[in-house]
Amino acid sequence: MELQPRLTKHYIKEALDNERLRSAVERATATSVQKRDEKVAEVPYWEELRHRAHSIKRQVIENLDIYLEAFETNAQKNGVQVHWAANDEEARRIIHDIARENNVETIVKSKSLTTEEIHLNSFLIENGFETLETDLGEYIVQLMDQIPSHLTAPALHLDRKDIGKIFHEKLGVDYTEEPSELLAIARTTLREKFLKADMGISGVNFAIADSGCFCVVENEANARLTVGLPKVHVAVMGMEKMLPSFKELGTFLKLLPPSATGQKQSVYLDMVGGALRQQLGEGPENVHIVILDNGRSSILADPQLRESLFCIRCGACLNICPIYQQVGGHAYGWVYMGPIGATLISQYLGNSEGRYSPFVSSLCGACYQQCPLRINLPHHLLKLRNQIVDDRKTGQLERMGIKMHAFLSRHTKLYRFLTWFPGKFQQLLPKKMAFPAPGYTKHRQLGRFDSKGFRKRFSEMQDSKK
Amino acid sequence: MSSRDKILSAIREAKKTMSHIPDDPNVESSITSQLKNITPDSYEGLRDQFKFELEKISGEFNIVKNEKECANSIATMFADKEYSQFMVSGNERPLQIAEQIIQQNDTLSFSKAVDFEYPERKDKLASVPAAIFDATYAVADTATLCVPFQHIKSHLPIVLPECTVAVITPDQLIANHFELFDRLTPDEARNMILVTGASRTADIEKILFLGAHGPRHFVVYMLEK
Repeated sequence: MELQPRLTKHYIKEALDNERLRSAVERATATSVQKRDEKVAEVPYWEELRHRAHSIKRQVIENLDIYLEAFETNAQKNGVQVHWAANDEEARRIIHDIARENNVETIVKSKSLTTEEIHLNSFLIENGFETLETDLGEYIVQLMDQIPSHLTAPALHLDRKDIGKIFHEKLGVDYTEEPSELLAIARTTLREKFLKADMGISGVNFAIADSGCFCVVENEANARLTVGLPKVHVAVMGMEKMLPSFKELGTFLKLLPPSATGQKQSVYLDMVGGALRQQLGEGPENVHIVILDNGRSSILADPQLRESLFCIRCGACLNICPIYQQVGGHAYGWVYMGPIGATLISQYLGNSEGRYSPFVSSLCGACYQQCPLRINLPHHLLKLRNQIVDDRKTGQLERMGIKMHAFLSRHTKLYRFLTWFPGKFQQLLPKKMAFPAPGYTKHRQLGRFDSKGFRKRFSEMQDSKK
Repeated sequence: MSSRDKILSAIREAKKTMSHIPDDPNVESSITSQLKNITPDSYEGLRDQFKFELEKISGEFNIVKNEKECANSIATMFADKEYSQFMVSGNERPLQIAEQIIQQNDTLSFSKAVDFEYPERKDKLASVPAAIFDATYAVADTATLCVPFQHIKSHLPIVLPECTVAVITPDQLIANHFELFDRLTPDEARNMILVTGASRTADIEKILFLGAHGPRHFVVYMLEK
């Protein structure tokens, strides 16, 4: 399933009409927020950790060339082959060539948003490689021919009936909607694939510059099996994933699991620092890492927006976002969703393709409060909105409307008259009824024009002070 | 120009606009003092914290006085689960315990993971139901075991069987991840696994299940001799 951010309005309409999806997303996000809050309450120095993590990331991002070069040198010392990809096409070609050179037939993958970003799965399958996602949620959405709808819970939008049906159709098993049986089916199917796979592909959560190694944080053990069983391992890393040394890792391991999955600690951290087959008799014979730019260096150029590269993909901003809670992840039209997705889409894909993305937010600020890295998402969304308006990427009607509003705001008497008139007219309508506005009032109400507005409240407030 | 050079030169161009935001000078001292307040200062305190955290995530924690008691307990557990064979990985201790287990229960047999060449090793490990290994550090505040591969040699027993049993000693117990990364040498940290309980997933309707792709049972023995 290929989604397009310019169709966001259409996806949002579809999502709002899909009661089953909305209830699944609402239930899942509410659980995630509650679990996250419980775990955060157990860390009394949480706020200080957020400050520390922000400071570490800022230092890394603003000296990224130094850290990347150090990482490359040290990884090569460990026997890791380092590749640089300027864009998605180059990254796909590098991975394809590695697979061809090693006579690979079956590839197992662990969950990686960076590989989603470069559309790796479909490319490898088109080129004749059996390519399987192994994270349970990712495996389910792969069978459904969809993309993940959440950064950490890919199948959050689906219920057990959807999953039972797709397992029955695609795997030829008897229909069941019992979650433990569905898990057992996936485990058995994928265990067989793990044991015969020739190549494993993973993402990277953090890379350690001064040691030339990288880690994957996970719960299912699929990433460990993806790294540990096949003869070749390829890690695809967004170039912002650097940390200076192991010393900084402790901070991020305290922040990531509570924010991502409401756990105090994830079950596994797999640290990969080279090909171990010769030394230990197991593990990969060859390890490759693909360092991906794909638009990140352009984001880095803006001293404020570069903060969006601090993101550790925990998904906490999605769970708390009132917009995401209503429409889920596919409505954003790309592989990144929620407030961080709304920030990244137009930066990665440009203001034309991503012109609606920064507007898929209420700017309530909850995401900023929740973000373990203190990324000021509302500020960045506002800045991106300004850029899109400046680039004249908004609709003509919308631009005219805003201009008219600006004009009226400067002409108070005219403004008062024009709001007084519909207010009087509205008094003819029943008490709770507001004006219908096509496309707006289907899922919410327009405020009544005869209600107490700002000016009235403000003057009352001033009168009461007197 | 290669992609590497293009990327690095784009970064260098972007770096001309550094943010120069000052760091909060009080953050570090505040973290240090708050960490001190919540960290147990005795072995018993750390052990109880490890036990509490492990049991919260459905792991099992046992305190035993010596290898013999440990072997007895594991033999009983394996018999209850109707296991007939298991693997060992790590240093001398798991091996000694394994030898005592088969003395207790001669229906059980074991092998050392490193005795099998690859790919036979992975197939063998995928077919045995249990494994015993030892860790280098045990982190009390999250019930995490740290296993550097240079010590354990074969790490697959930690993730392939249905049940994994770890044996630790009091001197391996440390307070938190900050201490862990202070203690680990770069060679130890470069290739390692941190394990915190049994493998799990909540990908179906947020319902938690143990044993996603890895072990369903995770048991830790503290050998207090």
